[in-house]
Amino acid sequence: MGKNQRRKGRVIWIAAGAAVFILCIAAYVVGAKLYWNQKVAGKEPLYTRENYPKVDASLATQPLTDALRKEFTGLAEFSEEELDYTNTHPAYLRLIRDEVDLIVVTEPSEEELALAREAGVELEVIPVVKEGFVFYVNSENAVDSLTVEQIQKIYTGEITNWREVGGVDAPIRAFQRPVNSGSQTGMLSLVMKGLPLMEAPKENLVGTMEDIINLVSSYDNGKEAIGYSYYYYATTMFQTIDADVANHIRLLAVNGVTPCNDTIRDSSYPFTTAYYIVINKADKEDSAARILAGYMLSERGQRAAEAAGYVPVK
Amino acid sequence: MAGKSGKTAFAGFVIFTIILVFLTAAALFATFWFMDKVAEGETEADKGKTDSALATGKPEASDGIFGLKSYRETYDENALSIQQIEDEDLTYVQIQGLKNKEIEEDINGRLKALAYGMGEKNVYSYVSGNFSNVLSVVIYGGDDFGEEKLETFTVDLRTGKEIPFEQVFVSSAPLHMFLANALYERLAWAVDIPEDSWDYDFYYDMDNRDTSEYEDKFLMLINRYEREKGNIRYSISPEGVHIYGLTDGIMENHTAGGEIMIKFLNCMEEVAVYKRFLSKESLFEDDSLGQKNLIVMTDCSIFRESDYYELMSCGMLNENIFLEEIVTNSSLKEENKEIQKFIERISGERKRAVAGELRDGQGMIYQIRYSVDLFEDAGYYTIYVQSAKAVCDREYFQEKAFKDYIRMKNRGGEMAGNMFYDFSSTDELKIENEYEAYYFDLDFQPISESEKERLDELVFY
Repeated sequence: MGKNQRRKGRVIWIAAGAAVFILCIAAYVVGAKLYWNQKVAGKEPLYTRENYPKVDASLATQPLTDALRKEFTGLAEFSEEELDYTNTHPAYLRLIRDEVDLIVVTEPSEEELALAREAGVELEVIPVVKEGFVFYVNSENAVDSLTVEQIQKIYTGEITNWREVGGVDAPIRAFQRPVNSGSQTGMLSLVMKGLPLMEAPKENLVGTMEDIINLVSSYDNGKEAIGYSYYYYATTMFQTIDADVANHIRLLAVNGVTPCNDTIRDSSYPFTTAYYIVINKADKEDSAARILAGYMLSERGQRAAEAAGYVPVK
Repeated sequence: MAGKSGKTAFAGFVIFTIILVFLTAAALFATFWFMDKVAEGETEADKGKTDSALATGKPEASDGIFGLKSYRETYDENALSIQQIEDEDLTYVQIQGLKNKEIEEDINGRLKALAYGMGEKNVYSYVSGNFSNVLSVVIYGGDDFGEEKLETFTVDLRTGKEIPFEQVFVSSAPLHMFLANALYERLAWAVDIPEDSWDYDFYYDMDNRDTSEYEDKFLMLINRYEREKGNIRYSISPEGVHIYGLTDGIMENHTAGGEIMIKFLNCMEEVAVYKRFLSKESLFEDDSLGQKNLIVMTDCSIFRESDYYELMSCGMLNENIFLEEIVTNSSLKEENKEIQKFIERISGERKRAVAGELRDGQGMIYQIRYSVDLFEDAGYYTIYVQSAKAVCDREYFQEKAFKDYIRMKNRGGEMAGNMFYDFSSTDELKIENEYEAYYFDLDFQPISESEKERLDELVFY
């Protein structure tokens, strides 16, 4: 009896041990599979070259749409016909005329909204990546932060000396861009907000972003200068704004907040805007446009956007 | 007894279970780690497919080694013999002189194939750069319908492998900015109205142009560069990188065409092509070929290709003197050993003199031009020696004057003889010009000026 009981007891313990062993193996297999699916299988192509929706984009967002196309198709190269891009305004016209499924651009102007209304199209505008408007100075400038009000006063001409904003006693050379350039439009809408820009002396009105960057970063006359640009544009030009090669200019903090991916994403940096997915509001839930928009806003799409140098919205 | 063994068995079961759970967890974590690595590896591999062969933007340890540190560094031309082979309406370049014949044959084969690949008519090939173990060739041609084609071939002579555009620069170079600057220069040079138009001069001034679209043009260029990375058509010269095709459609209305140039002078510290491909041992059979110790970023091909000019010297005489000597009508000099000896003697005397007269704390740019002429009918030679010395403080010399000089030479496309026009005396820079004339009869015996005039009169009358 005692022997049988012991044997029975041993069998029970062995069976229990085997059950635990099997459970652990099963847990391992399931856990590993789930993780693998999340990590790697999540990168499986969602589209082929042939069935990718028709997309147009502005110049500043073409690298984004390129990166997303690569991410969602798993392909590395595309023909010029496949990357059939125009620019912001023509892209809106193509969307309104139903020639493309989706566009990635800046927000619509009054004119574009009116054109859409005339055509009986209601536009749906969805932020896909964020953008910041940044100010930069020579790295030897003692000032590393300005308030919104100080910036506005510098560009209305009320503040003219760095001493007034905590710097050395030197006149401020506030560079401006030609009217209608992208950066000047951003300056007026995001920063000045109706305040009149002072008339820039001719030597402070420069044609291109490169001119400003070169003038601000130059050793001889850049120490008194301040310039501006979009964050994406500035980082694209410098590849990485923190690289050694860009060590002659410094992005200014505004209201104490330094522009970077995190502060632009959470809008704690004061001058932020976005690039948008724009689709026809009448597109159905299962339409090519809405499905692609969903992918662009998914974690996978946002990761690809960040890898391409943009600030994700999520 | 039974109760005791039951407890022992239970304890054993618990320990067994704990160990199994622990092992399972450890195995899972290890697997996750491994999967992460695999996923990262795939991401990197994907990146490799889309990016060029060399990632840019992140500084590498080699950046400090390959980048130029001074405007006064020097380079050597490759000791190669270069032929342009003509086959009716087609020319192609062939090289000779590499120790490694396998690489030489391979390069020659590819150069020939590239030329014939352009068609068999109106195909022309030329060497744009041949220095620091790098050879760069441009092949262009056009068909009967006026369609132009262009191919480039820039090769590392150590390995015979083509060099990706990005390797011309250090890895941290801001190539986007370089490209945008190069486009800006092109746009600035190319006034988009006819040259004989009454308002051409007005629009030549950048201040009077509408540049508001330039930002868009830069983005177009950079977007295109990112898409075509790895397939960029470019050639190098000692002065910079010429990039072809990237501006098609961006500059179509401009007379300057679709080529832009990144000038090395504008990005000296990021230029790697002078040093990246150097080797410990010479790659060449006969090292006496080609100019040596040329100042970086200056192009001496004008002298190599010209029968009229010869570059005698272009480099630092010592730490504080930059010397540049050229001979005009150099073929005459080569024919006559006496003339050669005379010029070498004058050159030696002048070098010793300027080295002796320069005070401590000063720097100097010194140009000498020897113009040799033979007046056969009158029966004499003339050798004119023109020289210019620009003297300044050593610091000014090193920081500004020398740099300006190289910049001006590159702009003018000529090595020497421009100082009279390019530089003007300032508080910092004092310029002295000298001019001497020497006359010799046909036996190369010195004659006086009056004797020379007498000989002139004999011919004239």
